[in-house]
Amino acid sequence: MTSPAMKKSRAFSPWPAAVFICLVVLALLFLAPTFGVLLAAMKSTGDIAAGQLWSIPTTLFLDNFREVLANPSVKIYFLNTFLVAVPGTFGSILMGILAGYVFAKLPFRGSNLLFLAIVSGMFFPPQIILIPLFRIFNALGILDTLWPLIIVHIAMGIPICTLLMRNFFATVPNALREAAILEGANEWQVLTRIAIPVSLPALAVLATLQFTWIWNDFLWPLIFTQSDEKRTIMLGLVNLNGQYSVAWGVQGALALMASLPTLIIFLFFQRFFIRGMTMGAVKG
Amino acid sequence: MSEVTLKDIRKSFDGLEIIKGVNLEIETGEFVVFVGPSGCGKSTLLRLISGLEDIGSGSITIAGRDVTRVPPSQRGVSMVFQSYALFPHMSVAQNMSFGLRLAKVPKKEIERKVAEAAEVLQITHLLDRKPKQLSGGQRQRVAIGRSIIRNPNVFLFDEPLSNLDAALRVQMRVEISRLHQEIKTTMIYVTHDQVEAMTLADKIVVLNEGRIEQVGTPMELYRRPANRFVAEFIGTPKMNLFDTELVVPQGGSALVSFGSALIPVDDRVAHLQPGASLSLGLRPENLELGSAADPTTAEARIELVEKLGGESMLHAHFPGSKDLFVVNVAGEAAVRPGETVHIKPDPDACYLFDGNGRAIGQS
Amino acid sequence: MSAPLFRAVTMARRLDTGIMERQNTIWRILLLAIPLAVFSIFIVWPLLNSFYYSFTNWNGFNAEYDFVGLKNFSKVLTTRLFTNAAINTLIWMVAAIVLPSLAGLGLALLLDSKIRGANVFKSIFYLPICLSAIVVGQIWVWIFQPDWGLLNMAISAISGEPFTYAWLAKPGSAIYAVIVAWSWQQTGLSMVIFLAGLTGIPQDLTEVAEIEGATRWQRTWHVVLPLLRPATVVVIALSVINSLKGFDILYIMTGGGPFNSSDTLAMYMYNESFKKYRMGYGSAISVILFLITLTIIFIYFRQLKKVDEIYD
Repeated sequence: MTSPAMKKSRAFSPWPAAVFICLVVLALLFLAPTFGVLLAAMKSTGDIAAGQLWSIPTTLFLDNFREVLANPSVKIYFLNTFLVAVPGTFGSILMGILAGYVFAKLPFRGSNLLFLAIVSGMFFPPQIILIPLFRIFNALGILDTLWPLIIVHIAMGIPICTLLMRNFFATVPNALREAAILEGANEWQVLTRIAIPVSLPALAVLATLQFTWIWNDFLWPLIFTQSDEKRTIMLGLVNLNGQYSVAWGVQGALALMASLPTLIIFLFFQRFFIRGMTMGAVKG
Repeated sequence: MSEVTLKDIRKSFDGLEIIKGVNLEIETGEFVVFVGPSGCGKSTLLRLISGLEDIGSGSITIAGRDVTRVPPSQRGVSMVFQSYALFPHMSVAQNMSFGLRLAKVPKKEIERKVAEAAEVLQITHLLDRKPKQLSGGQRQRVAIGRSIIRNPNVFLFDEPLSNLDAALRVQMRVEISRLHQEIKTTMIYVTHDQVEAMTLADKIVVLNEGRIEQVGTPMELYRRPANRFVAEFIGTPKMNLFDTELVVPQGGSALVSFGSALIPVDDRVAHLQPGASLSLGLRPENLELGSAADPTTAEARIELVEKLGGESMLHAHFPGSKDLFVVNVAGEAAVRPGETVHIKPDPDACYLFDGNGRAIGQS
Repeated sequence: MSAPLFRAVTMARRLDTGIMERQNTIWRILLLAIPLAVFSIFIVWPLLNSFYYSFTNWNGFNAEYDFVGLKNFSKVLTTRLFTNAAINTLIWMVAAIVLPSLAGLGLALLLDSKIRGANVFKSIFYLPICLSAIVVGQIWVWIFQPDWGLLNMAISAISGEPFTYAWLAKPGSAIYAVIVAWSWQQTGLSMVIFLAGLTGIPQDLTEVAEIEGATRWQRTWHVVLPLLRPATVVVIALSVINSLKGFDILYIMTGGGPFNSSDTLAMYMYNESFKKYRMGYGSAISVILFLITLTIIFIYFRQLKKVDEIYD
């Protein structure tokens, strides 16, 4: 990380050291809450009740995790969340690919306005359409199934996916499309054989973003599901916290496990994640 | 037989007419270059021929077939783009065979055709590489290879050399020229660089503001430009143009003024009234330094001397005028900036243009 | 939504020479059909319905309901609970502009000075954004826990006296406690956007300032910060918009309580609609929420355009 400017020999400056110490302190403060959960997850209820929550554990205590894993509901919550997050992620990205391609490569009169209208959808609080959606899904008779969740996540993902896919497709040179058309490709072939393979990084960005958001979602399952067998993990978490109301250690273990998939994604695809977040934000 | 026929082609974008009625015949096997300043419509015209852009009105015939309403891939044309437009995720071989694979041509045949084209272009050793691993010149060759493999009636080139550095550009120019001699397919080549046009073309089409200014062989355009625009556009350094008027002394033959001198012009101006305003065109190579005693020389002041080794460019202006003109003299010129010299024009090499810029009776 | 599409179709029909344009139009329709249908059915149509229900007294179950005109709106706007929620939303918005934005800017400036391990720091500050609001809320409930929460333990340790203030159970502090938790999560996002803005500043600009004799502080104040304006606009707009969406974390930390003291518009809307089943009334709240968001987006796009004109 040394820049050419820093390699130039200079008088000692206290500045970098001060910044570094400052950052270390801030980082510790920032990590403390998360670290606290980890600590709690590794302590027995008795220890916590005795005021030992924030101390470093001396032994590896895994009963809380065993308790969570033994709970049959947790498995169902995880399964349900995957069943929503995977099709939701794929579906919303597919929508984004289709719409984004048109806005990037086949603009028409008024297409910018239409694009703007779709993209601005990501700014609105979901409460705005809560009641009518509830009514639609009720009328369709699919309340308390996973379907409304999948559908809503696909629909709500359209703005951000369209935005990112359009911006990525816009960086694919028009000449590639035209060369392919001259070679006899139709628009679908241009999309599937040129535009999508060239935009694989974009798809990775979107997949990490969408999966994380859908995984972490709370509001939609709160509204659209009632029975325990249809709950997703975040809703289940709230529910189980009531069940384990004094077992803080179990709650901690549960929170950690519920966050595990997104934490893994974050650790491995952090670069994509950050890029997606900034692109979505800056270009919005 | 003509390979490509354009009939009264027009095209507008957002109500702005870019191509304003173009008629053109291109013979089979000809190397035609569209040249003109940026924004003249040359690239648009090429895209209209390719079918990537719909024409507003008119018709296009390729190989005797009206292709006005035929999709690009079925027009029998192939195109080399300015950016080469190589598919970055495909190998060279996959790039070249893309169209054949779409058309579901048998694998064996694809392989044979790729190998053949690669042979011609000497890129056989690159077939497994990705475009990113190639140099500019190699990419250029792959792009041409992708065109060749489709065995088109007409090759279209859209400024294919403008992304290369100067040395490579000369080399690729030679290669394209050689390729044309080898395969003898009709080629249409767009460039803004008149040197490329002069060196490559059998026929040059000079375009300006959506219209054809002149069509002809390079030497025809150089020797007999139809108008001021072509005269100025073709030839380096540019032709000098002087605003002047026709002088007809009593009983004498017609003259035009060149600075303080008068140049006799022949009877091609017979139809003009004395005093008619004209443009006098003289190429730098048709001006030389003369002596003050010679009445056909004009006095001028040197502003700048560019020594190029084998020749020198003198930038000079007439007394009382600020407009610079260029004199090309052989060897190292023995003049200095600020010096007053006498310029002798070659009366047989002067071009005359009327008030509308049209050439007058060039022989 | 389909008006531009329709126009494209009629336009293509008029141009009978344009084979390319006609094909393009067909593809536009084919490709846009599904996303536009999904978007229209599940976003636009419900939005229009929200407007419709806001003029009714629908309770969420009965098939029958009456039109009540603007009664819902007049009731909403005169209710103390609504004013309370609106004020809280406003507090949240202002806090959102100040807390995560300023913290993010500070972190970005510190991290931009090519410090050792910058990437590790970035990850640490950014980590909370990948956590669910539910988990974040739960973590902070523990921190604010009166008896053994980290905050009170720290205060006790420093002051030497036992301190057991119930942050989340007191109307005076509940909303602020939630905002702090929310800011902890949002700071990383602001930081990343500011960092993106900082990398966009050409290095020669700061170097020129350095050669001209500007101190580090002067360079930051006179060169870097003004050039960060586009990023600032984005961060502020995003913070404000996200503050309107703040629901999950509030739900788990306070549920809007105690005594509605931490209600926001989003929370209030949920409680009225899905706890009290006053769907017409709830719809009126969501219409108001929509109009507020629309106004903010409008201002945001205008600012963005202005900034673009200056800096691009």
